[in-house]
Amino acid sequence: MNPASNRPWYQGITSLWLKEAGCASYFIAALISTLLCLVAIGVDEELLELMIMFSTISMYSAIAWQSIKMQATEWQVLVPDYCKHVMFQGKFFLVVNNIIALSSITIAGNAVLLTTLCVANLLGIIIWFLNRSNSHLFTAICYFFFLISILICVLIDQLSLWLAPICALGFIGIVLAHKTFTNAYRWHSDSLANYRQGLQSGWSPIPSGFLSNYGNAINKQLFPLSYFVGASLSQYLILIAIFCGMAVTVNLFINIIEHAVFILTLLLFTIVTLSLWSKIQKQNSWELLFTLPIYNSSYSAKVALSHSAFKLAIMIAALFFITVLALVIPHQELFLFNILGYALACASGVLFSFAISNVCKNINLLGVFLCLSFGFNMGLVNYIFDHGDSLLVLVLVSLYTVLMAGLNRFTVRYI
Amino acid sequence: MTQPLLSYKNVCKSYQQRQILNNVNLDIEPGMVVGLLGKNGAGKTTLLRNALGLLTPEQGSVHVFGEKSNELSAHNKTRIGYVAQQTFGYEGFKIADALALHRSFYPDWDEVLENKWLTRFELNPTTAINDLSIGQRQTLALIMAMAYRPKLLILDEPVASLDPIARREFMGDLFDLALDSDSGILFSSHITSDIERVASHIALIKDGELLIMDELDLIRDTVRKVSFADSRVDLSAYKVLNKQPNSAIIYGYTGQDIAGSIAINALSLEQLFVELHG
Amino acid sequence: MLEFINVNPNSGDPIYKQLHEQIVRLIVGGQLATGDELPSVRKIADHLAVNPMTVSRAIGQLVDQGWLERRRGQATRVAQKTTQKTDQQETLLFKAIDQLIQQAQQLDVPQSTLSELIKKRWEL
Repeated sequence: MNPASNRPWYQGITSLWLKEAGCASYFIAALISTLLCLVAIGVDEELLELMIMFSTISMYSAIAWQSIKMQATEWQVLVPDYCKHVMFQGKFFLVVNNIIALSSITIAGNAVLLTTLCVANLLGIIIWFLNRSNSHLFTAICYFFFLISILICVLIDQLSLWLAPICALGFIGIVLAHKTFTNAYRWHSDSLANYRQGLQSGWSPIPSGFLSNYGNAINKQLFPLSYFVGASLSQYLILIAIFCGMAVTVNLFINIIEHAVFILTLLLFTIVTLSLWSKIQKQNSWELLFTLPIYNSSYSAKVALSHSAFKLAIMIAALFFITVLALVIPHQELFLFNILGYALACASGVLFSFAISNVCKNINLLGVFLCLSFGFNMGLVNYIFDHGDSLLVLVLVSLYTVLMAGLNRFTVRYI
Repeated sequence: MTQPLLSYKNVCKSYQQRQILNNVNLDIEPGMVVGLLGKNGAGKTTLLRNALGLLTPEQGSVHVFGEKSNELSAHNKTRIGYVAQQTFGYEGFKIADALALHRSFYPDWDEVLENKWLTRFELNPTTAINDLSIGQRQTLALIMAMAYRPKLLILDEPVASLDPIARREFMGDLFDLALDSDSGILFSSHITSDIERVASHIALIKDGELLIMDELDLIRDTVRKVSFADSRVDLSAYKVLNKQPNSAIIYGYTGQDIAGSIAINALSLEQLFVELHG
Repeated sequence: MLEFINVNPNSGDPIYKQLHEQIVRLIVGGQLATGDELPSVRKIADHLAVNPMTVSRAIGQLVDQGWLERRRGQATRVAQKTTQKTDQQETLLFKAIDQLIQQAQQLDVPQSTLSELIKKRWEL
């Protein structure tokens, strides 16, 4: 009797990979960037390289996440072939990913990119194999390798060809030795906690406990928002502030205004998206908030939440205004309108994202809208920084900001 | 004599220098419904996990269907049902999808039984598992563990979050499994009234040691609390489970007089549990 | 007869003993007449939500003691009345009387006073 015979290999595939929040965040990123490989062929060689690297590593991270889940699930070892079934789907995705990457390389006609693919696969396999038995290292491992891969792409224009055979040797080594990494997918007593934590923090790179002592004052100011996002809210803000400081310092020596502004904006909206992500994961904690003897009604708690989001936006606007001012002054390129408009646009982007999270209760829908608003905010903010040198634009941005503040306050009733 | 379904032999297990299980011997035979009773942290979950091969004992051995528990064959795995204390693993699935996938791993899955249970526990197959309450998740986990009529069913606090009516009905299902399919059931709980109703046997565990393992009725008939004024009273004819300055819990009492005793009282399971931890 | 039986898992007596005693009471008290059929073990167990083995142990004891009779392929029935059973009417009270005596002794009430008390309450 072979139970596997009546089970198609794709059974449960959407639920396993697309609908489980933890896996989906990596898997969808991998899918999108794999498709972008094809788009990037005609556009930009560097983008193609980056997308190959990113999609492969995201795909391996998604598989690594499944292996974390295996380790957290006690009954998994008792269901014959369950692990094999899930991992087969993972391997299928890997093959598809590699085929698309390979074909885009072929179409682009740049053999050097093969090296990138090889390196990406090697890094990915290392992520996967490390996570097969070390659930606590998930975020750390993934981020370390994401960082390495991006550094490789950015710092080295073209990888030298000799890396390819070395990577190939690496694979062969891992494949030959993989039987010796014995306790893969085995249940561990602490993996459930790791799984839960990973699920809540999503892509958050900050380990719990990092800088937590310094953020208390900020968290108190931003209550009840900090209550939902957790200690990471202040950690993110401190992180942004540190980056701002670094950018200003470096800027004294080299003119990096354009890059710094872009990176800071990117960081800001990434962090806002992450915060909202962890907020929706903690939906049920509303009840606890209501029972605290702070608010008269659930509505006043919601209003307080919108006020704290507003405060956050003001803090962001002030921080970014000062930073960009400090960036611009040493190079005597003072465009006050641009800087004001930029700071306001950042604040209104934050408010916009919060308004979205007020309205969307479905986690999948929220994910989609957050991604869309992320792109929209990035585009708007960068446009205003570059072209917002007239009073008219500034007035429009101010109006937009007021509108967003109002929207955020108004949508509170839908939480 | 038939081979036990599950057999612990001198099992010892420690975790971070703390002895969790100390020389446990326990056999589960077909038809037994064994209630594993103990305080939180007494080692119940560790004991159950050892049976599944999730943990391996440092000393002694655990055998399931005659095979070592950490080297179970695929065939024997399909004959074990297990529900953990925290049930999860199908996040993102709808109930129907999760059952369809789970079903496909078991050749002997009984769909009629599955549907009967779904209707009875009022689970709608199109509901997403993420939206289920803890009790509903537990019922689903029970369905997943019992719909193939496992020969050995291991349940870690199975009914803690079920409502009283669901609990009663679930107990009936346990008996059907134990008596009709000749399965062995080992379940941990600290709800003594549930154990009293369901269990045919009791295994009482305290600080990692198995104090008693016997038929429930036998335990109830022969466990007594003996009160005395002088602690030199002779109890050597019985197994003493717990001794205090003025009282003792003994096992194996058959109605004799005990010289020097003031009173000899029968105990309910709950009283026994409380007295042993007093 | 199911409606006359209930068990209390928290009481001091094991469930099989509670069942045994209650069925004897039903027979002695006349609620169950000679020849009456008992529901199946599984039915009783389902009704009380207790392990069928427990029910079957109680019924087994009742059969051994002659209260019930079991014929191959037939339901269990209440057996013919014997003299031994009428004695049981009194034995069934022993436990309650023992408890009463114990309490009287604790309260220092002499036997004569207790008898008189019983007489008084009886005529109430």
